[in-house]
Amino acid sequence: MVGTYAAGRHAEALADLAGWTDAELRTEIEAVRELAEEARRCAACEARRTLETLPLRAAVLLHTERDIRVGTPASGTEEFSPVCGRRMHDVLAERLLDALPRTTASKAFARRWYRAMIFRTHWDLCSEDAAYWARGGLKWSPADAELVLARGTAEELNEVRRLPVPAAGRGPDPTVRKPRKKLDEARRDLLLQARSSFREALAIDPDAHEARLRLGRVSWRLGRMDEARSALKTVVAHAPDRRRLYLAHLFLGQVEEDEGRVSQADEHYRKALEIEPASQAAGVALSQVRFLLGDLAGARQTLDRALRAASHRSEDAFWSYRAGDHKKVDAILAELREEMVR
Amino acid sequence: MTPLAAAGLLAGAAAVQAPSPPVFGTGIETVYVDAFVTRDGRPVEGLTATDFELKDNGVRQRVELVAADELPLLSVLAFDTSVSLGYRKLAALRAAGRGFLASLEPDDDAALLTFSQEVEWLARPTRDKSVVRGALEGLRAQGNTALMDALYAAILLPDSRARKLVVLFSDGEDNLSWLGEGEVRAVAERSSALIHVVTVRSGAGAARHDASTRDRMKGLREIAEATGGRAWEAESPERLTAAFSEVAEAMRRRYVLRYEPEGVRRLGWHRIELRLRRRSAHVQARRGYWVADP
Repeated sequence: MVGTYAAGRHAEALADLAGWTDAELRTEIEAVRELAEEARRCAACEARRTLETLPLRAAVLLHTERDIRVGTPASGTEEFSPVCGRRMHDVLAERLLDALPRTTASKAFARRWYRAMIFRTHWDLCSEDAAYWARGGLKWSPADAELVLARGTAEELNEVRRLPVPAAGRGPDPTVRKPRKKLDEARRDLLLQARSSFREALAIDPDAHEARLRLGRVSWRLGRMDEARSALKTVVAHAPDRRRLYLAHLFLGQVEEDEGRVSQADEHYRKALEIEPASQAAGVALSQVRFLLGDLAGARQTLDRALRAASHRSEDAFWSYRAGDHKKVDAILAELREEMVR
Repeated sequence: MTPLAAAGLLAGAAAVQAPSPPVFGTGIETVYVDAFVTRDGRPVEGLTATDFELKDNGVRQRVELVAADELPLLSVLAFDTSVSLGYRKLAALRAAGRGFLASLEPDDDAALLTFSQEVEWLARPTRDKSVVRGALEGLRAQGNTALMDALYAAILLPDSRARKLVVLFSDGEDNLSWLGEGEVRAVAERSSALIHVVTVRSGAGAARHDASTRDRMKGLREIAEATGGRAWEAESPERLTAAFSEVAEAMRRRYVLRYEPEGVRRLGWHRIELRLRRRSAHVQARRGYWVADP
């Protein structure tokens, strides 16, 4: 079955896999793990040679693909109820991965496999699972900036998804500012963990612009406005790419807005919209600021334009910032499968 | 006489930063207030203007009743079409939407705004309800959810002199909005829109109906109540049509009060207190309105 999968006959292998009982699969995988244990203890033994003949990477990918296919209900046919928590075949895949010898090639494979798992669980909005996979990847590559960043992102999004913290509100009377709601301890802890992860990623790779962008956003959520502004302005200054430049302006706008500097917020939102004219998030943000400034016609016009742009929009970077990018999962797994065939 | 904050215009938001004066303010001379009066959950009928006591910033006002059907209505249906809805809820939502449209008067306008992560006008405000009905048939469940952004759009976008009603349907999840509840609530409070929120109770298997979703539903209910509307929960998708009928019925049975504010400062936030003089009943109405500096 694994050989069939490795040969590129995926559907056939997946159909075969469906015929195995859970108990049979577990028994089989435990046998592989015992072999791996023995091989680790004794490099010159038969176990090592036997292990090297097993297509373990293909087996990992087979189980991963099985969970991806089964975990996605056909649209429009049933109630969509994504379930967070690790699925059986993901667990089996990870156990098989753990049986791989600790070679450079295995580490490179594991790193990418964990990244695919992280992206997938982000997309399913299961941030706690994403954090689990990030920690798993870091066991293989402890100083990998991307995995540290992924762990921080999972911590950040886990907090975000609990409930958005209302920005400093204005109430119906815009001259009366309400204080920002205090973060509860659990949320604050998650944000502090995320902040620490992003800083760690930046210590490993000072050019990790995504980590700096997220550090700015998390600092804003923690109410550390100067820190947020400084991180986000650094991202703008380095102008790494269009997506991050857009997000940095968008987030800077929110920092300024929260501090009552509505004109500066307006400027940043306009810049974000110049960079991504079809962005809904920037359109909504600018519209709301126009509203706060008393420009109802401008608020309507800006929002209307943003909604009309929907047909030209394939993606809003703010959405992938929050929900991840599913295309990355497919790309990584396709790359791993190709390598497996080679 | 200029129809008022309650009549289709958003009373202007004064600038948080001093130098930018609002460009739209209005000479608000007449205030309209929608009042839903219930006892034990049932509408109380037959009330007259003298049954109501209304205070504007603490000052008692002389009110008159306006026949609700004399005032054209713009109903904006704001429907969640994210993937979490699934086929069953979506089919029930289409049916509920059709039922609601059928309850509108010929002079009423209707519109359909949908949201997943995208907020879209599927049917802009029109008197031709068949356009909205047609748009309902095209609903598809997909994507994540930007609920608060959609509610903001439903409140802000329609530029109409008709009384504005927003009927928002959602399962409560919101994972991609730019705006938070506080910001949308501020806009809702300053608008003249009446917001009703309809939800459907989740089944036991709904993994997502967690504490954060419940908190969000609470936030939505508070926004609705601040505008004089309320939240309605259908026990199952099949009960959605009934829930929408209840919203329509409440709109038909509501009282519309009109007054010209006297003895109060014109600009700024006006707190409205409304109660019945001699009877005990629950009175639901917007809690205030905003008048901007022209």
